Amino acid sequence: MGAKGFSFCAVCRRNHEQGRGHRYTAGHRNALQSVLGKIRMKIEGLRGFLGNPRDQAPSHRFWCLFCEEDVADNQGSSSIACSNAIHHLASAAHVSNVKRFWCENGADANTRHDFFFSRKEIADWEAVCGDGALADSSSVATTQGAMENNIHHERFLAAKSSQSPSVCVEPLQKISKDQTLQVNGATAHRHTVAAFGGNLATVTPRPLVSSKGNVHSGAPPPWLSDLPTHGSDDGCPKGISKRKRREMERLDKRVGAAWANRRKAQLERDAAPRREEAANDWLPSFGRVWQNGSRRDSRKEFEMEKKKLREETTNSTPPAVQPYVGKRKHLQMEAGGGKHD
Amino acid sequence: MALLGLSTLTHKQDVDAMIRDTLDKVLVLRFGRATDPLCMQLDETLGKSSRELSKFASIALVDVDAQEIQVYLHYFDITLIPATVFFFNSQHMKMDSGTPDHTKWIGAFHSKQDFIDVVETIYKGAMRGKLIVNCPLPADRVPKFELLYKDI
Repeated sequence: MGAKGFSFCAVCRRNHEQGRGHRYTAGHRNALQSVLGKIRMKIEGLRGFLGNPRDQAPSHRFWCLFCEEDVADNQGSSSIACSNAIHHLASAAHVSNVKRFWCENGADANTRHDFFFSRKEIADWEAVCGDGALADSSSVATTQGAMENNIHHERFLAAKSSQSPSVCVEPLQKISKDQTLQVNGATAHRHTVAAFGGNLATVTPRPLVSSKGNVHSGAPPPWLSDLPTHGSDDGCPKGISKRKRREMERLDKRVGAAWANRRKAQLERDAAPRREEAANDWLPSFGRVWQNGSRRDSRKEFEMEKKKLREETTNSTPPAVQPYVGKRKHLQMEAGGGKHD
Repeated sequence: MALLGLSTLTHKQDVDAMIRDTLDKVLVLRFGRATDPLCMQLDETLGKSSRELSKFASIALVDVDAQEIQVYLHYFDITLIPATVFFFNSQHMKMDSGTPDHTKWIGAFHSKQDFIDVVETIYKGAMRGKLIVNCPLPADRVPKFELLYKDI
């Protein structure tokens, strides 16, 4: 009984000491599924060329995971498309490497035949190549799982042959995260000429009188073009409490924050009519409960007004301070005054 | 679509008002036809999840056959339906799902949870100030399509 030791799994790309049990773990199965899915897609693309060898094929260089080697494309060395790759996938070494990979990684045995070309397929392909028959663009059948580059090339040819010479259509470009289209720049003035996919219905927009641009070219959006003009457009509503202002500063980094603040203020203004000037018979609402703002605000208002009132009373002359005279003494003084007289 | 609780918009001013007045919530606009089967499938997904998303998202349907809506089809370059466009505070939100078009979602969603995940990702990105977000769904659940562009 010895230690299992660490071993490296090429599919999961990590070292483990689970031994042969590693191939049955969920993580390994998921990684295996995704890896085999990617390889299957590439091989299906090459399988498309088995039936239709062409003179020119886009670059199909790929890494064969089973043999752990790079399969280069054969541009310049052979006139048949992808012959290097097809020969590799049919070779005995590749087939035995696939079998070894299946045993080591515990993949589904029923799917093994998708990852190499059988002798019959190769024999048919060689017969077609030997005849020198090359399919023309119109009879190309595009398969679901064809390689991306092949799809681009074939669609480009099909579109070019079907359209008039005045229309210049560029092949599909893969827009990755790194190539984000600039909204305000002049890098992407384009509109879609044709679209297809799955069971999606196409829709052709009716032609407009004036086509100013679209979302790709960074044109101004149509929902902001018919904006009704409104009055004073202050960015922030006045008279908001400090707590509310702090919360708004935190929300300021959200998308469209300035627009949202402005629009909220505008909607509030439209909803509540502006207070009119005080009429002669106006009386204050002493409760202060139904006014706008929190109780803290109304308390502050009340203290300000009290302070103002106090200042007004201190400014005026204070009343004369007189000493206290008791009631009995006051009466005696009055009576004594009367007697003396 | 009244059964699903979603309103269908056919006038430009209704769409404009919807976009301008939905504040601090993700607005989901589905451009399509009520009679198209894939649109119907998507509408059911949208209708079923509208209540769960009501706190941070609003959903509406836009009919592509209406005359006033053509300006939006031109602006968003909509050629395949159903096309779902996302907005936040009148800003158009983009999503990179590995498809050729980041400006909208083409096709239906695989499940209600997928749609909820997408809207949640857009909301989180928008609250952080991002105009384009990464799609949280795996590639096999994103509908595939192809477009041929022409430079204008």
